[in-house]
Amino acid sequence: MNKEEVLIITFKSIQDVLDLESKTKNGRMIPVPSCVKAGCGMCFMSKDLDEEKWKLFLEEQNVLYEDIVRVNF
Amino acid sequence: MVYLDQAATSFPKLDVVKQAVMDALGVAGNANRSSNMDSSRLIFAARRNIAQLFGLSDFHRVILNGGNTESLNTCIKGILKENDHVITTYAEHNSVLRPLYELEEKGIITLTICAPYLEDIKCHIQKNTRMVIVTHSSNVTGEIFDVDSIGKYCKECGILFMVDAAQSAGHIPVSMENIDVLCFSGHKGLLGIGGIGGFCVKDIEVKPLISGGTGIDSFNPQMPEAYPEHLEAGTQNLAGIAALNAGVQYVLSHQKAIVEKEHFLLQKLYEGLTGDVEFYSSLENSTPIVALNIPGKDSAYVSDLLNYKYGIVTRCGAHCAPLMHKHLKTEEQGIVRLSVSFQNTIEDVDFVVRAIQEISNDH
Repeated sequence: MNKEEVLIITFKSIQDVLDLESKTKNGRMIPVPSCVKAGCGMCFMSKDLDEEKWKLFLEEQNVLYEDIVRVNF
Repeated sequence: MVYLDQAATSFPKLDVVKQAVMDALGVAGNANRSSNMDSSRLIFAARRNIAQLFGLSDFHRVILNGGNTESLNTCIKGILKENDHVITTYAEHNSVLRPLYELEEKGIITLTICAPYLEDIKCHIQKNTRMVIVTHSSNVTGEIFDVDSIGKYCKECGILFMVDAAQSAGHIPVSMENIDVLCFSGHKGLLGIGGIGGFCVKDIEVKPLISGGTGIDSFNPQMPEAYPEHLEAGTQNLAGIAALNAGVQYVLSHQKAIVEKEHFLLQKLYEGLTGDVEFYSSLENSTPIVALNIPGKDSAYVSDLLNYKYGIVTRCGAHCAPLMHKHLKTEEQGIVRLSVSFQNTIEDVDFVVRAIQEISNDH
């Protein structure tokens, strides 16, 4: 299957990815890809690559996040 | 059967609680681990509802575990440090007292036990007093203690304030405004099932009592710093949390009616229980508990007679609250505790009143 570039938002707590999921339909939860962070846990993946828009949204919605990266997934 | 032991555990379980358990058993996946996140979503919803119930702004700080005893142990052992002085009260349950005795015996803390009132607590503050621990409501007498005033005073003094809400949560509104740590049982007034409870903690570091898998941060040799995972090692009790969530939702939408119905039943108990009965509780400022004895009769005898002759379930003895019984001078006789909830009826009350009258007259 062809990989495509996506935006990944990571979190320190799984509660925060659940919090984000409850506030947007613009993506979905996935297990954290190993190229982003080794280990386990969940992150939020979106095809909307506008990082600045996401930062603003997360701030407005009071969602705590760790990092935002682009990866091929 | 007439069930008047609601302070021990709520019964019968509400249909919405039973259904929530059944539904949870049909949810696939281990919360925070499986790629199917439905179980995590369920727990997240419970966490948010509990935060709302207690007026806690940060849902990360709602920790779910095996019950109030685990919560009290975790917070007492995970917050207190060497040379801390702690004040607690004679109204506490052994789930508060025993962890404190343990730390005292190890020489980690010094402990003062006093009356559960602000003026008494004020008299015992020391330079190194780090924490005050008070039950919100006695599990023996039902008396409600003024945790708001005690909490405000502790805040002024820079002392942490921990409250055991085992007997209050669900029965009366509980606010964390002046409380730093609130420990709760999930199966009493919050209407869930046994084996679930938790605590809410403001921005205070709590060292985990147990370590293990959390579903995140796996290569970290320590427990993750992020809450609630920091304090939630191991697979969560999904069915228990679902039951608690259903109970909390019920309380959120029926709190006023619960308070009114329980006060009504308590009032009827006091009106009916006249004659040769000695009370250790009162109608006002109380959760729905009546603590009584029939003079000259062992509480175990009365409680047993109520059970086998009348089918009325109560609790006798010391209620795991030894210092309260010493205070009331009931170590030997114990106390018969009648505890009702909104699920009891006026018929239940009338029946137990008649039964106690008969036992009382039976010299």
